[in-house]
Amino acid sequence: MTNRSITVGRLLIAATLFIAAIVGTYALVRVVPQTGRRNELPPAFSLDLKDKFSVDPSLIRFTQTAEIAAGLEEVRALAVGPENRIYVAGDRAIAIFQPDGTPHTDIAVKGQPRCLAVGGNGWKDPGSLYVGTDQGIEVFSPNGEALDAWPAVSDKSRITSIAIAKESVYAADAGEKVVLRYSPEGELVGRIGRPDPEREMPGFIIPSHSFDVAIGPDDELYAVNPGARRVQSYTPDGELDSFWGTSNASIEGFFGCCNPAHLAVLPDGRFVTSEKGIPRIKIYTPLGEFDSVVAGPTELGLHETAAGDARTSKANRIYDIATDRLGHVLVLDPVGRCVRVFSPTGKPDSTEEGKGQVSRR
Amino acid sequence: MNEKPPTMSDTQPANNRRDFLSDGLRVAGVLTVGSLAGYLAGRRGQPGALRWQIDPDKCMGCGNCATHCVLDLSAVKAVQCFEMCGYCDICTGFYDVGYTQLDTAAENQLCPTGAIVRKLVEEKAGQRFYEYTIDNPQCIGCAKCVKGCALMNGSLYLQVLHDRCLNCNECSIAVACPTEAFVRVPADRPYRMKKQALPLIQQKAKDPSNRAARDLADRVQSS
Repeated sequence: MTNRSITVGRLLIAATLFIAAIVGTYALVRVVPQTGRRNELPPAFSLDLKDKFSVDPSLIRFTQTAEIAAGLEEVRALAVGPENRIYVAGDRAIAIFQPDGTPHTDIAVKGQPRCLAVGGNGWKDPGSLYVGTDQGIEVFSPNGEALDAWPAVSDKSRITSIAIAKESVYAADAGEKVVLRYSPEGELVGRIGRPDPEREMPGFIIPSHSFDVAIGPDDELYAVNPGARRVQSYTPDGELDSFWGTSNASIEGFFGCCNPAHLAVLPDGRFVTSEKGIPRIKIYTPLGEFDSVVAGPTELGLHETAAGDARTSKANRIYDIATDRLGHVLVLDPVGRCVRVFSPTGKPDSTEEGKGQVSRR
Repeated sequence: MNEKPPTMSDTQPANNRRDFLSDGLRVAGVLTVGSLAGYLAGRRGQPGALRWQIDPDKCMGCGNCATHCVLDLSAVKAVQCFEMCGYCDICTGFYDVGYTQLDTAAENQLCPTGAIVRKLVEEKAGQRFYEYTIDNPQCIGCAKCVKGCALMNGSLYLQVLHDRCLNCNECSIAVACPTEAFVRVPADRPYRMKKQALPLIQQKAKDPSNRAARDLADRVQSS
């Protein structure tokens, strides 16, 4: 066989492959619906979130420094405990990690965990776990031994967040629309935030199951009033003390009908908020003034085309948050099923006193 | 030894008759069963027995429903599931993301045809809360509100309305649906609810005094 005939043969094979590729591409375009069957509506009929997705880079004062795979099929809640251990609730378990991301242990939970809190160093039993499920609150020792189960207060009850103060366990109940206050032994000792028409005190407005509580550095209780786009503080006996928060789609405010979805407090008293809809993790000063951004949708790995996808499996991605003693912000990514650790990169500008917008009752 | 062995002509007719009868019975049985199955399949396949519907958990809100229906004005419309929400001050299905005022000015509304109607329910904590419903004749099924609502609670979603749908044998929208959200459903339960909402309505339907919930629970199914 001559060199010439070999070359011709190769050319024929290449030409055949080329034609096959063109035919294959054409067939794919004809067959796959996404490639060829678009609607013919003008742009006014589509949702444009481009402006809201872009965050001014000068406002972002955190950077992601670590990512910890949760090892769970579905992740739901995040907390940080003593020694900065990281606790992730999901499936029917709690996965515990060392601060560097090394797996520590797993704890099996009877119900499906929806939220959790870990007793800090000031708590009677540091490291003990309080896990909110459909059935109420399950209590575990630091070693993962089931100690107690506090039943749900009613059929409507839906515990969405738990926070531990020095002498109380607070549970946000989105079904009952109140914050439940328990003694350390599990006795229900109060309901905070009930409407009081005589004193013109409206109750919590909770259009969906986003209702979060957190404890400040001075043991004060903060609760999100999502329908009012506010963070409210309460005295230990349940009196509304102050509130802050504005409602708008700009970066300074809270977007949509019910935000922030999650709340945490940094060791210096600044607030961390997590919004749903357009996922944004932001920092507010102790007086409630916008401070900076931890992560916008892009930093959380979300493309603008993904937002507004109405499919149940794609919509309503909510990122739980927690803070550690070193000032890191930890974000639970439900898509990547991981914990993203963000570290501060610069000093906040607006921490001077007197600049805030807190309203006191 | 002089006896003559039986020949084919002595035995064949008897066997043939038996075989013929037996084969005939088998064929008749097969034909009967086949006809019955065909009759039943035919009855099930009658156009009135099944309807096209959108599985709201699979619908991504692409907008194809507005332009691919054979009707000039699509049979697909947005619906509000009050079990999931429908009560808001700032509804992201009603207001454009870049709204400047919380009013009904066209530039602040998300719906390009003004098909979402709001009605004041109450004023609470300094906010005015509205009930949001769909004005069907105005709705073209573009799903812009569905995508806006999906940012929050996802209570707005698309359904094929059967007072308009022609129930085509091959639905043009179903062919164009990128997520295969179009399904065939029984005509006596022609609507679908999101998985999240169905248990809530079923819970309400247990209350004997709640007839509306019972009627709704009877007419919908989950995906």
